[in-house]
Amino acid sequence: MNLFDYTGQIYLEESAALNTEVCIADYFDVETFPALPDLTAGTTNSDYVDLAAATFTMKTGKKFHKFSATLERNSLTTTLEGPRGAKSFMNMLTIARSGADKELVGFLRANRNRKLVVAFKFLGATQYCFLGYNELPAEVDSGGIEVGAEISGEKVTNFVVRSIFYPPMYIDEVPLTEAV
Amino acid sequence: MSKVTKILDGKYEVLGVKPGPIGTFMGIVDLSKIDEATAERLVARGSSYLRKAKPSGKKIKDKEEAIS
Repeated sequence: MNLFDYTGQIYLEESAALNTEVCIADYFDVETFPALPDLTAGTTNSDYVDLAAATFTMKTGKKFHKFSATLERNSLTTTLEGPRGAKSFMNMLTIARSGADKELVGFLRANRNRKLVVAFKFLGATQYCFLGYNELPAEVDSGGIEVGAEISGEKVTNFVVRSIFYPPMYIDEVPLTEAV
Repeated sequence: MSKVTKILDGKYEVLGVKPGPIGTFMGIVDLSKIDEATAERLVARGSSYLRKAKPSGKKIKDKEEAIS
């Protein structure tokens, strides 16, 4: 892994926040994970995280599933953790949907202990980022339902997906239809 | 990704998945409902799930015979 210049290109569509559509797969439904970058072959900084046209090959009949969250409720925190000389990434993706109906409660019940791969987009981005990789699945770290006492209060279902070691990896496409 | 399904009158081929929704640079695109312009954009961008079908050998032969 080499050191490269960072030239600070300006993106006029730059913005905080994440897209509302999140793609979620069961870790065990992935047949083959997209190949990670060759760390000796990178020629730019982005080469270390951009998988470009590499694909998730899903088991037959399996796919990523859509979760429609609420705008300006999803968020990502990626931090470097660990001792000097052994820093590792820890990623926390918060996914939140306004409401607390039986679909949402059922979703939490069905997936709270599942090993996951989760793809999401930064607002206005063209590529997806994903958390969870072979032998390093993402998992629900926390979450729950909040319903305020007053009608002006909060009513939201949320869960936080945690992954470790790798940073969010960038990929062009995510299959939301069954593999054949 | 080996199984191929033809769409848009056989002009394009869906690779490894059922023709259905794919998360792409354009957002979520349903490959069973796209038009040729969208298919062309996806192919031009290097989609891993869609490619242009090659003309079949028979059709090429027919064309060659028509020319001669």
